[in-house]
Amino acid sequence: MGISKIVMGLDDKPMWASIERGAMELQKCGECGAFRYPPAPVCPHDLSADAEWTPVSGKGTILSWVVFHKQYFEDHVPPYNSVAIELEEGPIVVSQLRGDEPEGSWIGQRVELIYAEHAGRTQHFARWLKPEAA
Amino acid sequence: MTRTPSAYIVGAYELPERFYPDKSLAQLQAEAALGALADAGLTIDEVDGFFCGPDAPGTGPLSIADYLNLNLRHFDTTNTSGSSYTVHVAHAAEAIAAGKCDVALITLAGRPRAEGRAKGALARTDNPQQPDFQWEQPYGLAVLNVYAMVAARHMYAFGTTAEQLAWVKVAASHHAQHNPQALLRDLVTVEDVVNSPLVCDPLHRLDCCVVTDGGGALIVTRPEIAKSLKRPLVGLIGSAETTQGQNGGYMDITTSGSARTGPRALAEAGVAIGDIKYASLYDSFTITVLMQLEDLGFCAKGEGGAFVSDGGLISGSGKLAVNTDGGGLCNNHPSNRGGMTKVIEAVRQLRGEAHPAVQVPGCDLALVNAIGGQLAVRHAPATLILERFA
Repeated sequence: MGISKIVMGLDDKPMWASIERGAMELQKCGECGAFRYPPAPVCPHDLSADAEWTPVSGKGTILSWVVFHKQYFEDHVPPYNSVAIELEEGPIVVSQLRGDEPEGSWIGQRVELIYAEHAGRTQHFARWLKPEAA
Repeated sequence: MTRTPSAYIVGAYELPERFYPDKSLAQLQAEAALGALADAGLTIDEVDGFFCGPDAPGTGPLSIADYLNLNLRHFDTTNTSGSSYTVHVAHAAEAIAAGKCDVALITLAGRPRAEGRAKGALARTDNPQQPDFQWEQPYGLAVLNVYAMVAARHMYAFGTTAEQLAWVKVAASHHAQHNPQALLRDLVTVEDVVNSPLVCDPLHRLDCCVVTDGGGALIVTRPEIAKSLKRPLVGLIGSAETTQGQNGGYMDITTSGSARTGPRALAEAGVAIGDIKYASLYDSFTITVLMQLEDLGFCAKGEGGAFVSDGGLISGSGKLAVNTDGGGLCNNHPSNRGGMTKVIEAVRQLRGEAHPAVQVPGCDLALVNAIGGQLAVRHAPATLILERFA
């Protein structure tokens, strides 16, 4: 079955180092200002290679979500969720909601990224920002 | 006024079994090829163009070309996952029009069940260095995750329900009951689908396609040869392909690239979506069919749920006959790549050779659409418009 893996290409190292520090950084295009995800050597919108690793707020809105009921990895025991989050900075990232869960559909709920150990590495997870706290 | 085809599909063959524990992959490739050639009334010696995907063992076309002793002038191993073979039909027609080959053979075969690697139901084994895989890899995601995410978003945005998605499977089962080779031949109801175990909420087990061994092959040739064969003439009059991905994190997950390939293929063919009598739509999951119906223009965006409800896709009684062989949901999804069987059933319909219970009367215009890869994060849609000529 195996353990889920992170993707660690040459372009990804600064992002994972920032996740290790507990404050994710993404590349911000020096040409158009757009944040991009996943990491890439050029901006997908203008192909500019000019970019600066910039911290993101970690806050965003759930775009979609699923709950797995079947086990595919040793380190993810069902039921477990994955959520697609549209960050305030723009890009859509995938994470996993931990802690309190919204009633009904999670789409449109505000979340913020938190950082925790998982399978021997640090990665981000999402924490629900209840409406009164959002 | 439709376009005059530059090439015709004259041979189509689907391997009969769905589990091949005792036949090698090379043998399955060969049996598929010989079946399609026999269907066309051509011999292996006449093949001068070869199109295959990475399911063919060895490097590109080399091993199977050697194994079949092909004398090639042209080959193409474009790999867009499940849509590869749909793409290959268009590429074969282009090569024929350019004079690069006369008789093109397209093959697919695989034995994931026999080899115990049913990828659709297991963790992905693709290269984790693939940069766009940041999406899936660290969070326990498998192939169906992104399809379930699309379904969840579609439900949120358009009010689509699990019961509506279930109708896609119900229609497939209505067709599969008439296909003696189908893996799943039992009729199922909406209740059966929504009461089947959740695999990845909101998708249930019966929202997912089957995993099968097997395959098939196609023969595409130039008009002069096609007209000499005394087989029904199925011509390619329009085609389009594209890719769609994450766009740096800014993708629209409820619109597929079929929204671009469909209109382009129809415009090239000179026909309207309402003229289509039969459609083969890649049914990796029920949501995939719903998305294609909307993106191709069979209905407006967000109205796919209503379109498929109450048997909308059942041949004879529904709005549009779709996947009359039972599709990937019930019949066959060989090697986890559905683009080949989609073309084969469209050819059967246009020839009038589908099962009588599901044959569309006077079927002279068909659309094939395949989504290779995965919705939302990386996919290659390919659309074909096929016409029956007298």
